[in-house]
Amino acid sequence: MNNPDLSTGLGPIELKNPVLTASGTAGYGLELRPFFDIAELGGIVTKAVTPEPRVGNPPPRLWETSCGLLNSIGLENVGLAAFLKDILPLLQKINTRVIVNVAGRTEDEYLEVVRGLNGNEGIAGLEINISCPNVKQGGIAFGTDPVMAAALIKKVRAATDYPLIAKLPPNVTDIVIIAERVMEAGADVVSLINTLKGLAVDVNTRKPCLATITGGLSGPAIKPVALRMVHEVYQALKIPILGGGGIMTADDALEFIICGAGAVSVGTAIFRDPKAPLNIAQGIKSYLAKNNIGGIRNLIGSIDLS
Amino acid sequence: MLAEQAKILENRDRGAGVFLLKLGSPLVARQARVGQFVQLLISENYDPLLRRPFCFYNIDQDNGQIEVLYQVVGTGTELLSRKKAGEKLSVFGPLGRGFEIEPDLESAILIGGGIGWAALNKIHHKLALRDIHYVPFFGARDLGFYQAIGAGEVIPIPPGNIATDDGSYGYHGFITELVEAKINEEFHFSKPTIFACGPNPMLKAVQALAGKYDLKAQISLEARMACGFGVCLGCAVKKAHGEGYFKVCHDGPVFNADEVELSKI
Ligand SMILES: Cc1cc2nc3c(=O)[nH]c(=O)nc-3n(C[C@H](O)[C@H](O)[C@H](O)COP(=O)(O)OP(=O)(O)OC[C@H]3O[C@@H](n4cnc5c(N)ncnc54)[C@H](O)[C@@H]3O)c2cc1C
Ligand SMILES: Cc1cc2nc3c(=O)[nH]c(=O)nc-3n(C[C@H](O)[C@H](O)[C@H](O)COP(=O)(O)O)c2cc1C
Ligand code: FES
Repeated sequence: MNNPDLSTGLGPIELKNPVLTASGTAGYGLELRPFFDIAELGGIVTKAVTPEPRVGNPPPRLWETSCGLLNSIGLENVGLAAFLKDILPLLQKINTRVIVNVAGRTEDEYLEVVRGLNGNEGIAGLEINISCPNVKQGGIAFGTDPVMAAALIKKVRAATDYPLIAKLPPNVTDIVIIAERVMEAGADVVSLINTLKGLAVDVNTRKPCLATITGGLSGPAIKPVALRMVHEVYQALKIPILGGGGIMTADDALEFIICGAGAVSVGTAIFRDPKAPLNIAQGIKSYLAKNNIGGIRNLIGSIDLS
Repeated sequence: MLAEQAKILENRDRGAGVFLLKLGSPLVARQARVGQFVQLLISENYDPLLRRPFCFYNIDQDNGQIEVLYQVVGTGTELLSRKKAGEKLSVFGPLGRGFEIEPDLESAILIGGGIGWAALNKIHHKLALRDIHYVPFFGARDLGFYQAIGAGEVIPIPPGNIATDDGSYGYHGFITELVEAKINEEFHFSKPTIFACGPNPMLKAVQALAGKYDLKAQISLEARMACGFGVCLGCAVKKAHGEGYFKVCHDGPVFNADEVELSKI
């Protein structure tokens, strides 16, 4: 198979290939332009957008752990108005799917962002971040309680026609239940997983390594957990999944797709190599060609459990 | 800003845990400016996961070479110290905003502390060649570390302008005390610009000096980094004026001393 078909879909969102940048790890996507043509990607998921600008958490905000990274950025972003005025017009000129990550402290804040985004060209969907471990209110509180999560998604669904991706936290007892509830409430896709809540301590000072004490763990260390969650949700619900967590190589991405992800997000890998998302997309293509697989859709959920 | 597979030309042990790494990296060298930095990918597997940031100790554009002077402090630098000439190393850079030397600069003071000299070596050479009133200073923990860093090896630093924490060489005490004495002695008629890099307590003392004598000062900061090019928003340093944070990798690593609040780094 010389030219395998990389195109895929996440519910109503059509993608030319299955590789997206993960929210918060590539800025607004534009920052990757010095390294490659970002139109080569399936899509860009933006940094979280909140109603007002946020300055983020005090430093230290980063701590490296074995094969992982703890972060506590605190949703620093330019706010809705600046996003619409300064950033979206630039994104509209790029021939790739733009998914806007939405965050807030309260239901009203989420709704304010969603309404503000309504009616704009060039937005392929919204990723509703109900899972950020680094903000005091909101974020994870919505994500860990299936009832609250569903109530929020229901209101967001009523407020917009954009395709909705609910980004779920892994810090829950049963990921399947919460995935099922947000789909019932009107989400089109679930995004699995956000960072795992974690902690590191300096033994000399006995102080936490991050200013906010705990942070979100990303990178290769979380990949098996992420993959297991994608697998469980896909097996139970057969719903569209944006999979990610620790994807560094094309093989990592393929594992997620085989377990049921319709597309994948690449985050921490960008910090080692800004071209990682492109290399992963190309690696997936080579794999399909080498194994004589006609298209990526033939691979989604194809895990052999026999 | 680009990533290049560089060739290690030399990785020399200078003693006291300090190494000098010379890299053939023509594309990065061509764009590099004094005070900028590179991110080195030290491990092919994922431990350490992230690149490690290092200043340009030397830039040789004609020969397409760059040099990094580094101190072994942990896993990444330990691994780096075991690399051999001939091996390849992915270099990402040049990154950040470097030092600015104003064309009409009349006088300057350089203040290096410990491995912070790595960021200043090149500017020391530049300033020493200018026809200006220029006085360099260097402080280290002891004689052995001073020799390993080799501050002033090519273009000397007056022995009276060197301090060690334990008094094993030069002045016994903080380098900024020597600097203040010199300002009072020599700089009655001109206001020198300060260029500094070193540990945070030293940089805070530099901020205080600059404030007290109303001097311009450019200081090079460090922060924990992930991406090195402004996308992760991890390397925050508090703005001195107004709300919010600068990103050391993108807005710095060189800042005007009065722009940043170092207690909150
Ligand atoms: C812009 C910039 C330029 C730098 N230039 C140089 C240079 O020219 N020469 C040099 O020797 N070092 C330089 N550093 C510091 C160097 O990056 C760290 O020493 C290195 O990353 C440590 O890696 P490690 O894996 O050996 O240590 P780790 O095992 O990660 O940590 C060991 C110790 O080093 C400290 N440390 C780790 N990373 C950093 C960091 N980014 N900044 C400050 N402290 C850190 C930790 O607090 C810890 O105490 C620079 C840092 C920055 C941000
Ligand atoms: C520095 C950093 C910032 C992040 N910011 C956000 C964010 O603003 N919104 C969000 O939904 N996820 C955010 N994430 C989570 C990532 O999008 C991703 O879900 C997670 O890092 C796991 O993928 P990875 O291992 O490939 O990085 C952030 C992650 C990192 C490392
Ligand atoms: S290290 Fe990522 S923004 Fe500075």
